[in-house]
Formats: sequence, C-alpha cells, structure tokens
Amino acid sequence: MTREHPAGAAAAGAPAAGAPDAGRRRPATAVTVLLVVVAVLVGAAVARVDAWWPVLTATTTHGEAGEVVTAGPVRVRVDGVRTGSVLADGGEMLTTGGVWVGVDLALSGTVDDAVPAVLELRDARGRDYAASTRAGNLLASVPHAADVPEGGTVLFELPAEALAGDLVLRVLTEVHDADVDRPQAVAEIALGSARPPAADVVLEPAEDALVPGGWDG
Amino acid sequence: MRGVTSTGPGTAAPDAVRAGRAPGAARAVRAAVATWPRRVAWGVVVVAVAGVALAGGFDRAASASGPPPSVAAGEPVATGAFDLTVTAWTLTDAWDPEGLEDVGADAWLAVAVHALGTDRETRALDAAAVTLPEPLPGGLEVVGDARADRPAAVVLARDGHGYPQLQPGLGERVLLLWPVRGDVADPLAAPDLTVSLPLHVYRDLTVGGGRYWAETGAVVRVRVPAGPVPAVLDPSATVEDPWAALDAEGGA
Repeated sequence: MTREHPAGAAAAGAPAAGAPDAGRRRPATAVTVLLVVVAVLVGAAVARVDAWWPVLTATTTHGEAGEVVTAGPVRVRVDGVRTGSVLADGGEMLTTGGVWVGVDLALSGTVDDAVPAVLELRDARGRDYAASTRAGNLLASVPHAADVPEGGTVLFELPAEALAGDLVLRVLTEVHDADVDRPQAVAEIALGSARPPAADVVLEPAEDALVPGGWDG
Repeated sequence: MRGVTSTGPGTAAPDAVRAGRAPGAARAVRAAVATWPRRVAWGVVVVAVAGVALAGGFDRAASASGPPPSVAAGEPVATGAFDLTVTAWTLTDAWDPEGLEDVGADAWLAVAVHALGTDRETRALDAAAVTLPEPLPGGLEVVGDARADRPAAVVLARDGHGYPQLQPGLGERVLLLWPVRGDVADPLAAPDLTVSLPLHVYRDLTVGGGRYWAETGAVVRVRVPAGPVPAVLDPSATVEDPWAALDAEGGA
C-alpha cells in the first residue's frame, strides 16, 4: 500500500519534498550494502563449514598375523591364510567363479561379550570383500566372551586377480558402509600375499572351538 | 503560473503536449528504458536468455526426443555399481511351488542377468536392477507383492543362494523372479521381453553426509529372448555334483 502525499506537499515543489527523502535514503542504502556484505560472508562461511567441522574417522589398530590386535570391544589374532577353488562347507561343496580364501583366526571380546560387525578382506586395489554369506561363517556372526578366544575359519570369495597383491583383514566394530566414514574401532591385520589355489583344491574350514589356554595359550 | 497537476478526462491538454504524444507502444518502450536501473535489468534479462540459449537450455530434452537407448541381449550395460548383461527370460512352475500357491500365481517369470560388481565393496544387486515391461506379453500379469520393478526373489544361478551379496570384480549369473498369472503353457514359445535397466550415479547425500548410488531416471532397454529354464530352478535337471568329480579323481 502506498501513501499519497498531501496536495500541499506536491504543490510545495520538488526541493522542499526531496530534502527529507534524500536524508532517509542514505541510511537505507548503507543498510542494504551491509546486509549484502553479511549475506556474502555467511554464504562463504556455509560453503566452508564442512571443511572446518571436525571429521570423525575410524580409530584403526594395525597388526600382523600372529599378533593379538585389539579394536575397541573386539580382540583378534590371525593364525593363517588358506585358499581353495572349491569350499567344503557344512556338507556342501560350493564352487566359485573366483577363489575361496579362508582366514584361520581367533576372536574374543575385550570387556564384555562382543561380535564383530564386519570382517572383510581388502585387496591391493582397495576393494573390500565381506565375509561370504554363501558360507556358514558362524564365527563371524556370534558373540564372543571377553578374553575367551574362539578359533575357526572365516571364509571369503574373491576374484582370482585380487590375489596378485597383498591382502589385509579388516575387523569392523560398527555396521559397515563404505559410503559413510563412521567413527568406530577397526583392526587391520596385514596378511601378505595369498597363493592362488590349483584347480579342484578343496578348502576345508577349521571347526569353531575355544582356544586352549586363552590368549596366553 | 501554477503548474498543471492533472491531465485527466475533462481537462484540456495544451496543444504542444498533444502534438508530441507518441503511440502507446512507443511510450511503453520508452518508459521501460527510461532509467539506468531499468536498462540494467533489461540487459540482465537479455544476457540470461542468450546464455541459456547458447548453453543449449532450450534444446529438446534427450528423454523427450525419442525412446531410451537399446542394446541387444548379451551386451553389458554399465548401470552404476554393476555392469549388467541380460541374457534370457523364461517361465517355470517347478521352483518353489508353495511360493506360487501363496500368491495365487501360475509360474515364476525369471530373468537371467550376469552381474559384475564394479564398485569397491561387496553389494547386493539393487532390488530395482531390472524392470519388466507393462503390460507383459501374452497377457501375463505380476501378482503378489512383487511389482514390475521389484522382483519377489533374487537367487544365484550357481547354487540357488537367495539374495546374494556380490563381490567386486567377481561376475555372477543371478536370476530375478516374479510370480505371474496367465498362460504359461509353452515358455520357449514366448515372445521376446523388453526389460529396462535403470542407470545410477554415485553422488553426495543431501543430508547427513556420505555418498550413495542414486537413480538418474535414465534407463537402457534390452530386448531379451526366451530361453531354457536354468538348472537351479528345475529340480528335475541333472546338476553336476562336485563331490562326485573329486571322488572320481581321487579313485583314479
């Protein structure tokens, strides 16, 4: 809605009416410029806020085969790596278009019952292969008591070319999602290179069993 | 002399003003560019329109200019996290007959796809990896909870393992299964089936951080021929027993 000037003001001529208007415009222009500057500064800050924000990444404990490696609620020790072209799992023979890799290891909790969220192998190209859902892999999915290690074989299915470089076993303690970097405890155990199996070599996983003598045994 | 404050009806305009009066359109144009802010505004509009035109913004959209691209059956299509090769489709009522009964279906419509994971981690095939045409040929109709773009089951052709997790770089043949009702007398006499493969792009999540494979809205069509029933869906088929092969080798 616009306000009409009184007839008297129009009749009084431009100079008389313009002087007070000009006085009001100056602060309005200054406020506009100030708001524009503030908007630009806020926009610049918002564009950079992701870089300023602290990034919560995983806390990774590194180790090698034979060492007991602790990652938050889970302890793990790798005892060996075997490969096969066929897997004998629970009375079934499972074929694959790649190779079966069995990692003999022992797992326990640290202060309470614990189950690793994900066990995966990372190849030299940075690709992660989760423990196969085709195999039973019970060891990887049941809780383990604190410092009562249980041993067995965790089974993975990899393309043959993934054995060209070194492999790393990754034990994750939260739900894995490569698309989101989550703050969690991770154990990374260097396995070195695994020898590709000859044709028809059957990989037979070890029976899951408590480790005699515990971690000190 | 007092200034003229009104030229409304009934007011006699001076001859000089009347002589100089331009047509209405010309006056509007003159008014439109009477001040510098107006000229700048018009300049911005002209530059914006020209820029959009030069950038191809007024071109006909690709999706509206014709049907989606097509490939032949057996040719791989890079859909995002997987390269998919659709090879054949078939109908069978031999696999999971209880499942058919539960939804009142006559047969399973199975589409065979070779899936090669190109991502950096183990992933299941997206539930909407393959979309059936609507309507289906031969009067077939998807029933139960399945939809044209959501199969009721996905199994590994190698051993029938359900909802397989596929490893990166390790191609596997999988079967996508929909329960259907209709005439399924002679599966091999069925016509070709034109399925759609939605394409995905790996992009940032808008909220919460991280990235994900998002559908682009684009699809690639594949005309798939009917084929024989895969052995894993046919209990009567002779499946090679790896134990027997190994026993024979050991005995020799």
